[in-house]
Amino acid sequence: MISISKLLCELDAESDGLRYDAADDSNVPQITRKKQRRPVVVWNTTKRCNLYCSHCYASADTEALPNELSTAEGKALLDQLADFGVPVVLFSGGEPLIREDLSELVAYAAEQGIRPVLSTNGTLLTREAARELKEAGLKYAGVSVDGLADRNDEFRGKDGAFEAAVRGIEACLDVGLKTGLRYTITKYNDDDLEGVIDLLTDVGVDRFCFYHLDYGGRGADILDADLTPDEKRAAIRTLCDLTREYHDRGEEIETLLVGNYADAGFLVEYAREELGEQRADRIETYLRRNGGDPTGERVADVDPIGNVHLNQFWQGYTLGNVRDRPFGELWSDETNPLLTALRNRTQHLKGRCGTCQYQDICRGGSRLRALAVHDDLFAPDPQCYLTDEEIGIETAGIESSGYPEAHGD
Amino acid sequence: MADHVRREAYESQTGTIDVVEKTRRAGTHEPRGTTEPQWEVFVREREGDPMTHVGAIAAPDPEIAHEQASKLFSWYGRDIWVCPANAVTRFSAHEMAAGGDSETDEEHGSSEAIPAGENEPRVYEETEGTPNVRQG
Repeated sequence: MISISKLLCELDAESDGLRYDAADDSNVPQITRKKQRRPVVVWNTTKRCNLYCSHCYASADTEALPNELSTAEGKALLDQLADFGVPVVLFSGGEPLIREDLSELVAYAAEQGIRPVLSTNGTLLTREAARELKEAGLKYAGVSVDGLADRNDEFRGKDGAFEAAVRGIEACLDVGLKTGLRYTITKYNDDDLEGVIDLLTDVGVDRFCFYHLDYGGRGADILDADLTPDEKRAAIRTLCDLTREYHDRGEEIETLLVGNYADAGFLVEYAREELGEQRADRIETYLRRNGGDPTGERVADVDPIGNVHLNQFWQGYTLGNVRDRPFGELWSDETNPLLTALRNRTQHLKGRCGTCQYQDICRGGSRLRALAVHDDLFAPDPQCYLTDEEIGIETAGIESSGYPEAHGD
Repeated sequence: MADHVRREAYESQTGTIDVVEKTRRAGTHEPRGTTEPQWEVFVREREGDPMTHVGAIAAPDPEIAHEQASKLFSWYGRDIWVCPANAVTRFSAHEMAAGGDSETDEEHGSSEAIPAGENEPRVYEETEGTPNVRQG
């Protein structure tokens, strides 16, 4: 997750050094140099959903799986996560609000010292539900919207989904539950970016999280909906420009990017062009500490029946099941060659990713996309949109790598 | 006669006392797949090494399972085996503990205490509500 707003608008070029503040509910000392050592865990609490979105990585459907974790098992999972030192659990789905025990699980996570946050389509978020979740200890609700009304409803497979999601956002704001937008950028909706930010800012939203399409679940069936590298570059530039315009007007919206760490290199290049060399260097320093793509390291996923995955999009491979082994054992099992390779991935990366000058702030981007397109775990991320010049390599070297060029100008 | 029955009969006759506590293993045949069939994957890194379990993949049939497993592990191992996950009955000393009292269901498992984890420092980088980044 890369914060455009913090990097471009809130870092003061006059001061020295950067630091992270611990989150507001943490009682541990502030960390200045260490990377996060335990993963944020996405828990897909159910496969059931009241919508049917074209890009759903969890392939959610109308029916729950027959063997989903029960309430007691869910609490046992949260115990496992707490014992391992997991800082945050993101309750996701399917649609997590369909689970009748959601507030109970949220409260239990909070009691164990794990920060509970929510990913929802928002359509079931009544004011009562929002209040109950807030009282249970929920810290944040991210509501998915994928375009203005017509495009969103078509993408999400239900008329009225946009209006219902906006009502859900308003319900959160009414009860004082922090909320924000989740938006997956595709060919279907990149024209709506500005309109959605404008509209939801008027509603009162000040946090906007933009996802690149990853190639897992139903997302793997709509690769043609993904933006070309040139289109990605244009979309991210639009978001950078918009963020700065808002901040210049005194509206301090928070904008974030997820799912394509080419964005890290792009932000450095953008800052160099727009804000100067010194600011660009500072941004690169921050991004280096952030560490690049977190798959298999700082993000993990547990699906509805307890399978542990390398991230939420990579549902086709599982490390094991929390019913068989505790989460911490699975995540720490250094005999697993895939897990170990991902944690040392820079030794294995090939082609453009192997020699990229932004390797330490990107770490090869999405290995799942490389696998989906090139059938090679260590091939270049096909959706890197940085130019050869930007990543500091000779074109001749790329051609000899045997992978098609994906970058644009 | 099964081995454990034979052994218990022998112990009852001779008064033999076990000095090593027996591990209790509960068996389960519950599905581990979500939508597609799951295949347990085993790899052998070098000739003479044992086969090692390296997780599971989702695939509709053994050929595609092998193809998917090869994409993930052929760089590492010389031999790759796949086995239908639903052909595996799991017997384990690990039992998923019940996490407190549930108000919604009563399907509690063992309440065996889990050792406390390391008191690792935490930094909230990859989540909603990220920390503030500011000048130091």
